[in-house]
Amino acid sequence: MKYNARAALPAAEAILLASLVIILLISVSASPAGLDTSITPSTVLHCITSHLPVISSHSTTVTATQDAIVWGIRMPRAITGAAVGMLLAMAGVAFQSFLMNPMADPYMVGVSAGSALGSAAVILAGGSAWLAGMAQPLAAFAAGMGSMALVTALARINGRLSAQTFLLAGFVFGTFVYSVTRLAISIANRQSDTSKTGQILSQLLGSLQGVSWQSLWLLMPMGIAAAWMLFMARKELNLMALGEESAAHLGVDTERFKNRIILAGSLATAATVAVAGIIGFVGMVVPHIARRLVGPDHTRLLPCSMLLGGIVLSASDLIGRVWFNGLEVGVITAMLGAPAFCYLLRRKLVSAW
Amino acid sequence: MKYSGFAVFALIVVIVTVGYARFGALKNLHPPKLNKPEPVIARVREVPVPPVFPVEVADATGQTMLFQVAPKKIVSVAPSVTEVLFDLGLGDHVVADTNACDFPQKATQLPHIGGAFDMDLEKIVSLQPDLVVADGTVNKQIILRMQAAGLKVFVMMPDTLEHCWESVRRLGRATGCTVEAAGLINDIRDHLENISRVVRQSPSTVKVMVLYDTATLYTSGPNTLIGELIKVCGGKNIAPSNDPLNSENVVEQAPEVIICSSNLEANVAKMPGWKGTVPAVTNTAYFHTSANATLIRPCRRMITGANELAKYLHPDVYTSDGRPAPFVKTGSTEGKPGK
Repeated sequence: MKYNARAALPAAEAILLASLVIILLISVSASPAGLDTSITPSTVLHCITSHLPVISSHSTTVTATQDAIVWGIRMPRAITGAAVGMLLAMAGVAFQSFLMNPMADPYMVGVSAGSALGSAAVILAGGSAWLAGMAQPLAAFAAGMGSMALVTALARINGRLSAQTFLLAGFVFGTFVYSVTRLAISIANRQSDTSKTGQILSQLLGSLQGVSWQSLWLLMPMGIAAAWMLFMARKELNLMALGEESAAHLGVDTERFKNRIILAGSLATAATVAVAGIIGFVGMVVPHIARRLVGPDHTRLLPCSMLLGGIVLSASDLIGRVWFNGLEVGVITAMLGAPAFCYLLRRKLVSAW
Repeated sequence: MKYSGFAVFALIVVIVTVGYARFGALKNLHPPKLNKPEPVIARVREVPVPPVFPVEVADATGQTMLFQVAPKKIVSVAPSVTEVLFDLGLGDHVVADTNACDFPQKATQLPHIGGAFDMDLEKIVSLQPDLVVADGTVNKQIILRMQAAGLKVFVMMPDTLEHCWESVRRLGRATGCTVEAAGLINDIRDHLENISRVVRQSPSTVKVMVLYDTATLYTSGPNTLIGELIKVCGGKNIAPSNDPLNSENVVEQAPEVIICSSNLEANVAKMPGWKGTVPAVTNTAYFHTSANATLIRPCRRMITGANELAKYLHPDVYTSDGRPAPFVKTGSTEGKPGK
């Protein structure tokens, strides 16, 4: 058992949690170039305490502009970013473990393509402001869950869902749906309304610009439900690592178990795509790094992956927002993620998962 | 391998340190504030020169073309160009235009060669035009393809007011409409000069932002046609350049009026942190460009657009029937747009 030495690293969770908190504080305090309003960590602190119900102090040191920037723009963005990173990494762990495939990521199942199409359809219909702006994320979420149901139905043969058919069905379905999204882009382009094309593209690139407190109303319930379902299934996930047959012999109802994992993973993924678009590579690379840190036991792997995912996404968004003039976070994670994955592959870590 | 846990931790420490270092250093990196004097539309009059043929005319790209006679069959590949051609009285010579050409009424009934992004090059060639007139600010790709297909392409470049006049002047020489071109330029310039004189009586400047998209905050800076028109109409453009804006800067600059298309209004309203702090959003003070596109097309209708914008920004110096007010109370900032 090669990983026992790793698992002895006792403070991994504590270090990760501390790092996440520090990165969140930096991303809320750091201003991009060209902002005259001074926002210091103490402004941030005053601003946050003034919004807390119990210790609310009507601090006169925070101006309305500072409050709008910190509480209205940066806080929801930082929290949503961390939550999205957590959910993607968590879903990545679940899909990699139960498909027994180190290449698996939350988007393999066609959920992301479905969600993106749902968004694109609403944007194309000119409804990005319907239902107080919630129409687009809700449609994306619904389309993502619908895709999950379709792919699962497509892959199930004689009541049994094999990992290989599931991957294939997800790939085929995802490719097809993505081509429909490209059709949507082409139609939007012909309407010569550049804002529609821009909105669909920003969904595909994955961006946290435009995230508000409202976004968390969709993300939080789905995310907490999914995290709870996966954490409850941590023992079965461990057993699945021995192979589906062994797991079945050890008393796991594998078909029901798979349904639960797919449902939880899709809930998490569809919710993230609904609020932030498709953010690549976090769900694929972070679980591998987490495995290196704490080993394959899902009791520690799930929370560590989540924390690490939150760190990676928050840091990427911070970099893009402050130093690259608002570059989409999905572009940054992809640019950092692919080399990181390549490095892990070279070190033969992927094959040792 | 043995120290990879430590390596990850070290990486985090580095990110944190660099983050703080950069965050501190960046405060001194503000872009320089542009402090140009208020623009005044020059009181220059165009002197009409009778048309001459044959004539050699260079277009905005510097390419020289020889015209033996005035072109009889003209294809327009941009709505702005179509309007200028009709303004010059060349409407009868326009044989085709684009789907997006919506003014004047006659332009909508002409054969179309496609939309902004899907022009049918074969159809343009098959019409055998004497001249294709293009807008260099929107037609970049199709211009090269048309030139490669052997068409005579005259490129206008209306990216600033001065370039706009020059393009019209040259088009006038090429088409034998020098008198009409001079008249058009004088007409627009007189009206803009009038507007700028009227709005200068208003004691305040209104902060204005142009917005084309909310996914990325695309805007127009001061050195653009719309940027110059905002100045003429007594507005202050908050964008220092054409680079996309940052949501936080918008909150800080607090624009009082947003110029955008009506489709975008709902998306602007749900931008996080803007409602309550950005006066334009709080007061729903949106000025729409796309309804009749009057503000973004360099042609006679620009006068209408500029007039509407000036009245929107400075209702205090216009009477209720839209005429300039006879006299103005100074020091009053009442009657600003959006209550």
